[in-house]
Amino acid sequence: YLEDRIRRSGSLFSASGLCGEPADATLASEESMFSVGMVICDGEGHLNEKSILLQGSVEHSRGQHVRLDLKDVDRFSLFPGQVVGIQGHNPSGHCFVVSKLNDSIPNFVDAQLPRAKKQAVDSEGNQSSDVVSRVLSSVIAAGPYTTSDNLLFEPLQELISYASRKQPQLLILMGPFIDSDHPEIKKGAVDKSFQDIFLFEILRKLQDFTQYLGHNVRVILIPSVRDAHHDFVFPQPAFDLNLPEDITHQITCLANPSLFSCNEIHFGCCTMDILKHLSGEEISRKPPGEKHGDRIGRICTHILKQQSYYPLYPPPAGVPLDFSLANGALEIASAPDVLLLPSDLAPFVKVLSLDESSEEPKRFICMNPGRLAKGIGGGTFVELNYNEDTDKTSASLIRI
Amino acid sequence: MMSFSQPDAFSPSQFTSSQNAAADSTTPSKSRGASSTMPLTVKQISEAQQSGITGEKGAPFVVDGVETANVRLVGLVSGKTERNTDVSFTIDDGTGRLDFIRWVNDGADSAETAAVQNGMYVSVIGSLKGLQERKRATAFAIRPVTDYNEVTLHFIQCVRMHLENTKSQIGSPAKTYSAMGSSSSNGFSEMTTPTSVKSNPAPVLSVTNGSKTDLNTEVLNVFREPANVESEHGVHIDEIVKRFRLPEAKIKVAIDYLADIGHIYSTIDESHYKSAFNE
Repeated sequence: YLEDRIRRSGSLFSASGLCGEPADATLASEESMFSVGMVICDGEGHLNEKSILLQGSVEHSRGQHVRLDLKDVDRFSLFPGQVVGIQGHNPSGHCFVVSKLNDSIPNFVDAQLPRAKKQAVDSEGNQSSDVVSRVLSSVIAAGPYTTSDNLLFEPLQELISYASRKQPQLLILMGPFIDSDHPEIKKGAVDKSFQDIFLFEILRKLQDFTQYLGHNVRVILIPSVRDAHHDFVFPQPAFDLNLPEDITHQITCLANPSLFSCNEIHFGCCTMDILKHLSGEEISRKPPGEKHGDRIGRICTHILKQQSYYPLYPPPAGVPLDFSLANGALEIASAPDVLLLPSDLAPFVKVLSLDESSEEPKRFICMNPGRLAKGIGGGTFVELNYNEDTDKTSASLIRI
Repeated sequence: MMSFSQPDAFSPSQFTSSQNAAADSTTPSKSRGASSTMPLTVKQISEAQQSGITGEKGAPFVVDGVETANVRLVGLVSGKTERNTDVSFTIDDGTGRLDFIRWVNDGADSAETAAVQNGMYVSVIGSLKGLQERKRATAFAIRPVTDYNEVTLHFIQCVRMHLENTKSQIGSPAKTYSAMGSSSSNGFSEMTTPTSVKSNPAPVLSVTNGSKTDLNTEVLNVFREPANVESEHGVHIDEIVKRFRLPEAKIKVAIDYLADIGHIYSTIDESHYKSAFNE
């Protein structure tokens, strides 16, 4: 998987025409060269400016790594597992002196399609989006859905009551639903199976909600690795629910991570706490005198720049990342309009752009709705009213 | 009231003549005969340089400009491995790890090493060896710590020793090293010439100058302490306020900033926070 990522990124960089054919960064050369590889740390600790290595692909550098010297780069943001393109030279063969660093993998469509074809695809997209107006009202929440002192799922009931009043077209609920970190679940002090708790306490409430609102509402359920009643693996399959036929088209279960669209609005979602994991590993430098940028925004854009829902490698202990499943499942083929990244970090809704330097940067909404329940109290969720593009869209972070 | 035990009060029987001879053979004549021990942390040892010609066999190590004969460490035992002739183990004192070897000559030695188990706090006296860039030590005496105050006392002694040694380096080429604490002092003092004189020794305690950036960093460092990273619910704001003795509003601003940029996050409520740092 890692080798595939480096190799594929290398071919995308060269196909974009912005850089030459990737060379072997481990070989000594006074000439300036371009190379593609994965950022790794030279020890077991956290990345720092002295411990940055670049791991090349088997194809270009026999999988060997070289130390990176970033003294000439005034701005960077790096983390282990990040695939980057670097320009520079390696005078000694031991250390690659970087003059330019590109941390954004060129888009597949942009790189592969000739200009005429690209316009055709764009206009085709515009025509199809005229048919369905890109307008959508939604309520978005992430678990846990019950407070830590009981399993009554009162915060979920509050959320459903709110949604019943607001009547959104889409209700997105992300795991954990039956939180394996809940004290009572941890202790095993429950007299029902985890699956039964899910069916009776959560699914039944959602069925009542869909019946109350009728066919205008869709509910999407996305699991989390913290779900006690589901597979502890990432990427994670969708819940396997045997729902009555009359509501199967209203309650949809998706995998984690997943990309889906509703009214031509593309949503990307990953319930693994990649924001927290990246926040703990990312190191950055900014030009002296420049004000602190939006760190969380920067971390969010890394996910789309790397075209992967989980670009961090190695993952922290306790993350059940299965590389045999990762190849297609973690890949972000095209940038979504809305990126949902539930996290323990502070909740937010941000409008971000992928490439600030271009004239019309691709803008997207990234949000962390927070946790619906926090300890013995309520948490937060998001109400999003999407309207054609990010400029006319409104979002509110609501505390219960 | 805090009672200070004496970590160095080893019974004389614990030092055999063969061990003293071994200690002597590893140190240059200049420091031979000085059996006073120097309280040190692993970090200080890891930064120590050998005096004399680089890599010269048997050259003593210099810490804060003072040649050390014997050192005393207090820390947690891990990786204990027993063999017929020796016992090897690692000491972790929170500043780093150092490998020790304790040669077993007779039953008394066996009994002493048997009392030491992994996960136990011990006080160790030994001498340093440099082996191809990697430092290790030979232990002469190991004793389990029975009172946690010994650990605190040891670190206080390390701080005081460091301050004394670095202060006296300024303006005086030769320096006197006297062992500290009545328990470890035996009346000997030793004259040595430091190998490197630092004109500006680094202050042991950093005092925040009140700038917001400094406070943010210092607050973040508290959250990144291993005990706080491992804590399930993180740290309560009140604990941070107590630690810094600053107004709660000021600490709250720093915490809000750190939470906004994703360095820390709230756990069970809006008063408990934890570092996002992956351990």
